Amino acid sequence: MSFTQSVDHSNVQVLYSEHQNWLKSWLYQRLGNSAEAADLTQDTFVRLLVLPSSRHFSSSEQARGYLRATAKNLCIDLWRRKEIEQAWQDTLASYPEETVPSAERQAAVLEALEEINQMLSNLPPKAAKAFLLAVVCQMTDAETAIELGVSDRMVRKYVAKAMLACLKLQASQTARELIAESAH
Amino acid sequence: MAEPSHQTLEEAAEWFALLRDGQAANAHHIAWRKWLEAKTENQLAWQYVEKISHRFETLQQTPNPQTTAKNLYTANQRLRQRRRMLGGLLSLAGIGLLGPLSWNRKWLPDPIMALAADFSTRVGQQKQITLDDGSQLWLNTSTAIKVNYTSQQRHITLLHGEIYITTAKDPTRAFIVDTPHGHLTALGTQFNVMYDDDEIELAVYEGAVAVQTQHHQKAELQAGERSRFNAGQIQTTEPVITARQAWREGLLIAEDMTLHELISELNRYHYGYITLADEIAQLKVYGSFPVNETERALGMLTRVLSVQVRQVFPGWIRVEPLKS
Repeated sequence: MSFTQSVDHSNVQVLYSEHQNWLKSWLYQRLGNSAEAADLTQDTFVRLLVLPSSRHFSSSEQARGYLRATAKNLCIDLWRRKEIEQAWQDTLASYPEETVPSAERQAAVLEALEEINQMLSNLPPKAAKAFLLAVVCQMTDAETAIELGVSDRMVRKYVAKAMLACLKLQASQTARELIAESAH
Repeated sequence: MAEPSHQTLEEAAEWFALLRDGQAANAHHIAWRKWLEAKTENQLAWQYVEKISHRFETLQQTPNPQTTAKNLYTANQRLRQRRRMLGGLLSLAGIGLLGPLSWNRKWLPDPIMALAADFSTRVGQQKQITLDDGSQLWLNTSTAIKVNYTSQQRHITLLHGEIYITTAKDPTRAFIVDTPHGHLTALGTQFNVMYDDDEIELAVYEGAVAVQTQHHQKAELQAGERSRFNAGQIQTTEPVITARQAWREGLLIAEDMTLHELISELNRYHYGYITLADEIAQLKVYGSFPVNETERALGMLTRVLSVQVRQVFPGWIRVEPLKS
């Protein structure tokens, strides 16, 4: 049960009264939806409650900087969920009507979309596209090259770059798992 | 084994790019084998390549991989644009995304996870289901499971949260609960499984349950025993707390609990965050509290203890010493 108790929460209350209106309108400008803006405002402040007590802001500007950064991450998280859900639903719609995939299968597709989206998130668009065509669609280098309008050599370069990004993610995950294990 | 260096990962990625479409000349295959056999580090890096390729299989098997790839690419690009619109480069480390996800999940159950599940509950909800074979299953707050019954086995995957199971007898099919840290085989039985932070807690109320962790630690728990485990280790067995089962009726029965323990527990059912002043954390609490009605439960506390409850802002409730 992760429940921190020794944190001084009184300053969160002050921060809330000073900055909540500002943050809400900041979020509204980006989300264009007042209900979502209100939800994320609340979530942003609730997140402050679990910060280590050492976290103090020396100025209002610094506090807003931090709130903004947290709110940005929450926005991205919200969008990520929406986009992946959309991609998932569009993919399910591509199944012929008589072969509705099982719940297991649907879950596996969703999971894969989520994972691969994460792998691609820091790649240049062309490399991401080349990798998807090559690996998901199992196109040859030559086919991918035609689709993208680049040379075969370039396709291999993109695929290698994308695979390297995935490998680094995999390696850092494995390292984290090992650390978590040795900590026990 | 040490992690492969950046250089090795780069080499592995290049080999993958060269060989993956099966059109490469035989000489390349021979060269690749040589590279693979040269170092264990190379083999490890190649294992990663295989793991990653494996993840793409699910999408390759969709009826129209082109459409799938296009949908994913569109989602990815739109996210990228939106991220850019937010301005500034984000450092993801430290806050938000890569931050303390485990607590975040408590009251923001990832809709993705719920979509991936066959059965799920929201924060502050319980659900009872009867499976095809007559086994009874209760899902506690913020829980997600997958169910997979075949002619050989009955499989439940606990993705998140807590479940209580009464298995139906079926001598031909084992009843197995998969968790991120290992799997449990029921031996005609009633038991509770909770996925909490980084551990699994198992409590057996009837019959017995065999535990096998991911790293092949084994134990068998009998009725009246409970234990916690993770992938590598099973902790010492303790007696079960019978009152814990009351969550199925939406009740939290406190017997000699500290206020800190009680609030921690109520936090699991509350969409928001309840905090507690240090000076009252060790007060003892007795009684039964409705887990899904936070306000009522906290109201009950104010009648038996010298505490007051204050909503500081929506989503944050604070329990404090009563100011006279």
